[in-house]
Amino acid sequence: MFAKRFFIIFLSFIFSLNLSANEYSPAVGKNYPDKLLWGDTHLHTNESADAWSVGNPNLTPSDAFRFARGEEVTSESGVRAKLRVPLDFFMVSDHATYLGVFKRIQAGDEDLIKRPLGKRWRDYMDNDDPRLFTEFVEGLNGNQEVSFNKEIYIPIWKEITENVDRFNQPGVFTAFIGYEWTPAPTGDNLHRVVVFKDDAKKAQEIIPFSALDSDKPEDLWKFLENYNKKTGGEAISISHNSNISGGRMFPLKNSYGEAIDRAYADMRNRWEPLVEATQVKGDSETHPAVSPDDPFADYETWEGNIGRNETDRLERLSNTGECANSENYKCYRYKESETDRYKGSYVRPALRRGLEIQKKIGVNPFKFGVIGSTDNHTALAASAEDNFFGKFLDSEPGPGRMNNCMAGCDRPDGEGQGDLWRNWLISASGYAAVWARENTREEIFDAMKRKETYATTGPRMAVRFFGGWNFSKEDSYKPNFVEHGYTEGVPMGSDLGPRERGKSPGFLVMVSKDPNGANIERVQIIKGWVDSYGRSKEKIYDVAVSDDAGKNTVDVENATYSNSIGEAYISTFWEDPDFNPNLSAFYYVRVLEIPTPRWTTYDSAVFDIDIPSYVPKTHQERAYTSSIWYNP
Amino acid sequence: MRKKIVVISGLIIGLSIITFSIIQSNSSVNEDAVIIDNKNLEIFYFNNLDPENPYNKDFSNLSDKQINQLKIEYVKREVLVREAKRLGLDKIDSIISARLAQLGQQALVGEIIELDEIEISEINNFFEANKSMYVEPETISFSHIFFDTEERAKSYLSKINNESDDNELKNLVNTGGIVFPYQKNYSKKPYSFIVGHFGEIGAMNLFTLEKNIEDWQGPIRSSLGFHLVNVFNKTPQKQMVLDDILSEVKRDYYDQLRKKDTQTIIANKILEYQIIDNTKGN
Repeated sequence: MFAKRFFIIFLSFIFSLNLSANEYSPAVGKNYPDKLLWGDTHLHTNESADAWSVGNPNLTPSDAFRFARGEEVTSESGVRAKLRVPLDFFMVSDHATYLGVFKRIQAGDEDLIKRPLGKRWRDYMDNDDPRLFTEFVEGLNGNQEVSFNKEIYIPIWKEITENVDRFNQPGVFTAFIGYEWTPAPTGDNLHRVVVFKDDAKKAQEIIPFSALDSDKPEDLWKFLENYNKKTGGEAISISHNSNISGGRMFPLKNSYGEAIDRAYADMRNRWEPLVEATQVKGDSETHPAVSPDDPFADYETWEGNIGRNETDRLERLSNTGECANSENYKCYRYKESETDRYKGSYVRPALRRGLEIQKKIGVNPFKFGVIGSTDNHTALAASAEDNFFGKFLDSEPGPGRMNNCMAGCDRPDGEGQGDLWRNWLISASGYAAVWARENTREEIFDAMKRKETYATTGPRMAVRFFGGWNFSKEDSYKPNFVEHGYTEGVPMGSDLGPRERGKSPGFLVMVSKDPNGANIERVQIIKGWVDSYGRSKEKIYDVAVSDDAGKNTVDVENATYSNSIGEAYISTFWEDPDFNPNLSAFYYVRVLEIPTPRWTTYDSAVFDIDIPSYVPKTHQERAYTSSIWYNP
Repeated sequence: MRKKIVVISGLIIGLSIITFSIIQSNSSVNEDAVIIDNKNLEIFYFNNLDPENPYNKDFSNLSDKQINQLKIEYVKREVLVREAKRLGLDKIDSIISARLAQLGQQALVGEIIELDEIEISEINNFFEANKSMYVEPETISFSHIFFDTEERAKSYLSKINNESDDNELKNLVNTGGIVFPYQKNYSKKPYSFIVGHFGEIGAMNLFTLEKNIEDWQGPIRSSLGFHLVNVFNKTPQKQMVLDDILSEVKRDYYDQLRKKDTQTIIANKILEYQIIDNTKGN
């Protein structure tokens, strides 16, 4: 009896101690990410063979970092360039294939020129021989006959990584070390950027793994695993341009033609937590062919693959009206027999496919978060519609850029690729948003790994997204919205906790406009789920819509718009009305701005030029968050 | 059959033209002659593969028939290019001239000074001449409470500034307003950073506030709403010291040398040309 009473008193004492401790130190338990950081993890400079040969021989990684942190830089075409607002973090991701080689051969690097391939390329350069570019493309396709011994990259990688460290200022501006792995077998884009958490000293313990080493993503992930084992350091890969991957980015089979198994899924999830969902070569959220009920699906859509070869996969929808012009790329679609390629090419169908595979093998291989980035090859991470410096030199600001071809018209051709797209098609997109505790490599990298990230097509709208079982409408008004979100639920990129009996998941969403941009038209939650037969489905819910949604204030002639419509700030709660506790599901937020002028419309006003009738005059920029998943 | 005859006739005519041209070139080479050699034919071949039908990628494996066809195409292209140039069409195409200018620059600009060769005295001189590039910007440190309307912010201001109890004041600060998407507290942030969170108008309004630890100020307007602000500190723009940023200045000096070198080479080349300005009244 005495022992029992003593135990109760003891418990009360301990409990009161805990209470007073909490009251004394309010910071306890508030270790959640409260900083929204903006960045670009995908940009090329003159260290990339294609950027160098397609018109950027001068602008260096240093120029790129200076521009990203808010300094004025003169573009390759001689135009002064500056961001309205600096970025918080940044990574130059030059191609690992021939990293820094073209630039050094041109500058007379003796070690390179004495090698047979170096000598040949120097001759090409001296004679303006187009085979230089052709052989670069062959390198991307893994042709070992045009490769150097890997030792040549040691001093180049050393110089590049040490320069990155110079720009890294913890707490102020984070500079990541990274590069791009760039295979494109049969013209299908399998590209990934590789992001290092570490400093130059550790990153120098490897030589970048390139498409010449392997064109199989599994081998890249194995390389990342080995790097981790060898150095204790860490790096992840982020895929991009799934939209032009010919369906290979989110496949049903691995690179050896075998059905995806648990080992593949685990490996992919471990080393590739993120997908770049939007960038200069189009948007990868979804496609009208796989999301026919989504009126906003056809956004900055590209058809075919990156090489624009394999054209027999496509059909022209019409030869009349606006489709009479063969350069209206919107008039092409995959043939009926090829439509499965869309499912392997876009983020939303991939999230769905992930649930389908999970039902079969028990693991979801496509449980990724999303970011946006630019992939510009101009050293300028500019993605605002009215401050857009294009993809290559040929799309830097100027009256002719819209009608130039990406990477130049009359391109040398070694693989049946011919000219790439006309530049009107490229997008002024995008940026990566990360919720982190501090602006440091470690904190941002960890946020990427836990997928607390989202993508925007350029505007910097703030988005919070929490899921849980006990949220209510009142929670969306509370000043402690964020703290409540973390303590009672989970943020974007997470799994919902165990379901409480009889409850449906509820979601808190807070969105504010880009402080220097357009108002918000609507906030949507997009749900995907897999039914009991293993078939995936999707549904779009408008969770907050501005009263004047559907209106358009854009003055096309003068390229202006007005924030007289839309909302600056939205905070709301939504509960899934169709929830079935037995079915796996994912939920993500899509935010749509009010209509604003596209970059081509700004160009038309600035340079006083006509634009083709089939080029969109206005568009609705957007943000996509990483998902929150539910598993029974 | 008819098609075959046309093709064969075409080939015979083409070969005749080339044979004639070669005979001509052997007898007397005039400056307009179209000269075919293996090197320029090979480059032409790679430049003009048919994207829809890339028949044979390797030039050395082309058959005699293919080589002859290529020669016909090459001669045709050369003649048309020369005619276009004769008509001055190359000078009115901005893409051609931009590309040529770029190639010209690459060809002209050679190696410049190595980074390691730069003397400290040069860096010193560069720094002294460009001091304005190396300043720490003005910063502001503050807390703020965010409101969706000016009225709510105003009524909260009097409440918060009249509260004498410290604990209650802390509570008012922590629970007031609505959630701001970015931060509640900002420490030593420059204007360029603040613009990203508050918009241009918000940054402008914030930087007009004076340091005042005792009282909350405002409301001020941002592009997202209204804010009550407690300004803890403001630091003026500050000149940086060379020792702290030596490597950065050295790199900037190097970049400047690189650009200057490029400009000098181009300027010298321009001097070799006679420039005739036929514009009027300028």
